[in-house]
Amino acid sequence: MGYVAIKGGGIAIKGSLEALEALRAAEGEQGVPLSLSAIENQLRLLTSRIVSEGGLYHPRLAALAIKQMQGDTLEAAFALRACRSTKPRLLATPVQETSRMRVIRRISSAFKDIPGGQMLGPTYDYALRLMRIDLSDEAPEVFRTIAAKFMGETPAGNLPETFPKVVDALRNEGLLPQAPARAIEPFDITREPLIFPIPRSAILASMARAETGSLLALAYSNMRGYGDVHPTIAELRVGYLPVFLPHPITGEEIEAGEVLITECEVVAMYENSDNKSKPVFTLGYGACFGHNETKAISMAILDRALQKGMKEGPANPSEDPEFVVLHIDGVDSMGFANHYKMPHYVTFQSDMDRLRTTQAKAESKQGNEK
Amino acid sequence: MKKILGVKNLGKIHGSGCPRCLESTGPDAGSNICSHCSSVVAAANISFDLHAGEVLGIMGESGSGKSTIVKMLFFDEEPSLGEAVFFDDERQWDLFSVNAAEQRWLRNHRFGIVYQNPHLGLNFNFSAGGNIAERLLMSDLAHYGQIRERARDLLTRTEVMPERMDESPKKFSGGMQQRVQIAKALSTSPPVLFLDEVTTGLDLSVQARILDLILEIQQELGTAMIAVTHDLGVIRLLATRTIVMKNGRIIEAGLTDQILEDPQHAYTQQLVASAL
Amino acid sequence: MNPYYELPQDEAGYSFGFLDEYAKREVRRNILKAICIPGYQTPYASREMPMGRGFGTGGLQLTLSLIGRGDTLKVIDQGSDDSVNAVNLRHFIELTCPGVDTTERTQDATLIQSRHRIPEMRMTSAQTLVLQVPYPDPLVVVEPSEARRKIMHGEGDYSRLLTKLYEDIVHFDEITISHRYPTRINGHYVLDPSPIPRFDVPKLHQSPALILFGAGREKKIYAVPPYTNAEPLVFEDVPFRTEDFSDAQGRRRSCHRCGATDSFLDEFTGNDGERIYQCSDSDYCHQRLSTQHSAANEVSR
Repeated sequence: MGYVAIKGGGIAIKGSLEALEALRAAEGEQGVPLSLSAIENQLRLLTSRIVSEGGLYHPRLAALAIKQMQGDTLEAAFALRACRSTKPRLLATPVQETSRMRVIRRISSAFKDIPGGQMLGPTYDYALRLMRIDLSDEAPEVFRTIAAKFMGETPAGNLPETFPKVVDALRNEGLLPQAPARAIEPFDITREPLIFPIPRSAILASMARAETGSLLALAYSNMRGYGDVHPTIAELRVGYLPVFLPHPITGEEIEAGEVLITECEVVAMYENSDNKSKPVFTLGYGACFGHNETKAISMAILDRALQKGMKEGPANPSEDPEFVVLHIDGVDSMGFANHYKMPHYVTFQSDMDRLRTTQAKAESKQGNEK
Repeated sequence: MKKILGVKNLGKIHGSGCPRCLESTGPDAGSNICSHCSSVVAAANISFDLHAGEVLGIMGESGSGKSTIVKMLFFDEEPSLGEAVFFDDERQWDLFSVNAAEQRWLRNHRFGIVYQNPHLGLNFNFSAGGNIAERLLMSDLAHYGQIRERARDLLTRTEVMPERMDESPKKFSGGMQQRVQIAKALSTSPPVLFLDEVTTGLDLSVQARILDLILEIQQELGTAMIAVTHDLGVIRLLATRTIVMKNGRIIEAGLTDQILEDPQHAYTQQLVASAL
Repeated sequence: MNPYYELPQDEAGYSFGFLDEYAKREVRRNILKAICIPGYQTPYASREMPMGRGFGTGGLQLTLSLIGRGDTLKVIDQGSDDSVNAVNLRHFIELTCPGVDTTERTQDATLIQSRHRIPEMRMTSAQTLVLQVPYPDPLVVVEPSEARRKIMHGEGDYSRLLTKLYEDIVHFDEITISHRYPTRINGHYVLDPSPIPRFDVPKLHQSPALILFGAGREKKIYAVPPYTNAEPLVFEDVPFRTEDFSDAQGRRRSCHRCGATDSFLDEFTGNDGERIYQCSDSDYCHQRLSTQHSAANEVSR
């Protein structure tokens, strides 16, 4: 029965997986299998993206996912999420102070000078996007000395470990509203269903593991005119944040390790408030695992837009929490886009039944009119 | 005459509100914005009765709070102050203490509304007949043939060509759209109908025909109506009694003839004089 | 990160049923809630599964939370046990649930996970059917906002959905909904019965088996409890109609393999261009064929 496409699924899947694996190793004898360490370091921004979208801070597993998924970011983040599903939540961290961050880069576009000073750090912002042909055939001996050379030439100890936060300075001057009270338990999107309207912490958590491109597209729509945030970056910082956990016996907070994160705070123009309190700037917040500046900025802009939408009602898609939160998840959206490739024989049969019936009715109606 | 609606001290404040909102707004203050807390007192101290079968006019310029009253009574907006009682055939409804399901029931069965903007009253994704069907379906009629027949009758009654009942109202003229809204509002034979600036923005000849239609229906069915308008002509033609509003307050109320012939408040005098 | 860090070998070791126990317990709690409020879309924190959203992750989470040693599982997609997705899901469950038996025979299964079909063989009160759901909310065609839809469901306000059916009849003289036919459960909530054909909708009504629906991407669980009313949304004078399998002469078409005239048929074109009809439920077809064979053998003996 060669024409029944629905048969033999098991054999087909097996063959498909073998073909996939063969393509991964298509270099043949010249090939060198990628080491996880090489992926984690040489493709550090890709690894960053995967830990962030995967919602699991495990760079080595992220590197493995990248290797296994042959570089597909959606698939790799997806694999990391599925891995996370098998892990129970044993502890929740208390709120972490990002002022403790060991910073590798921090900038402000609001002020020429900020407390602690600007630090450009590693960025492609001012790198010319010219093809570096020399990288195409790199000598391993040279490659291995680059990092050591950089460290040797950088004077130690002339930079502080941590920097004060720009928004704290703005708060002290009364230009920003006071920080929200810490009393509320943050919403855990991996354990609680989203029932709209949802709190801001659920929105922030959803954006923190959102697909970068989706987040950027929505934030860009707001920047271009479907919205009016007009943000200024008060501070963008990238660095290692020590994570403190309560000691299982003493309850005392102890440092359990550190995570690389990107944090962005945008300040937007003040609004007319109903009551007569002093007008202040408004703040949008973005933060995510890894070094992902585009994502953190997009998130901060959307946070600001969504706060406006929640207060006054959304005037644009980017101000509507339901619209934004339900359309930024990479695992959800890529899964659904791809599921259309699965057999839909039964529903299509049903569609044909309806179409034929309505066609027959339309024909008989035309016949009657003639 | 049987009282059908009793409104007492109804009010709506936008903003945080403060204890001095009411004393610092209104026609004497010349504003509806509270000078102490910047809240907007859209309406306050609104009390009136509506009797079965009568048309009550509410007149005032834009921003006087007249539409707010109708929106609160139809549950489009939540009131900040006051109460309203609807005296139905079988029971009394304290309008602002009923639950959401009862509100919906009252909106669908006992009240009708015609908005100035047809987008508020009609779903342009549905046909004209479908819009009427939706309201009939809300009132639990579930027979396709009966729904269609009733929709056709109503559209015929409101002078919309029944052969156009399967077209979307977005293809209709402004006057036709208002007729579809009227047909939809009347579909469940509600004892109370709210008209919010129904003829504003239409050509004069179209206005006259719509007003004629409303009068005919009112006489035929005995529907009680509240007609909100800034147009003295509409008041003159439709309303037996009239309320005049300014800065969110009632400044004058009485028989329409009396108000038009012998206005007491300086503002009403000015309104009447300017219309002549 | 420590540059010498190596992945521990048990990093990919999984507990029974893949999900951690807390997650399974949460799913079971929500299943109970869904059974208590027939047809109500119970929100839950859907977990990511190792297959794509839309490939049955909602149904899979229900199955994995319910299944235990001693259960016998059947997985079907498009009525077939051997289609790619059914094979993939069954393989994954076998991998992560040691001690669970699988079967293709409907009557032998205690738990059946299915996409797009309800088995032809009437299920019993000892069985549970899990259906995979892409779109849980039938109101989505008339109202995009989830918050507003929730209110409409709560108030039992389906007038706009019925108006959509009205418009259908006006424009096409027919209700054009082919599958996912909105169905009212226990007189209140209207649910999306998942993309089963209209042919399968009557099987929901007063079903002895518990029927569960899992939407992984949209993060909802809902249920038709055993012996509960399930009525397709219709007008009093426009009856609900299932797919029409009659030929030009008005005769019911039959399966070209087993000859059944009471099953949902797949239609396809043979190598010679002729149209062929065959049972969509492959197990039903096989069992009928083998009964016919053994009957024939009896006779010949």
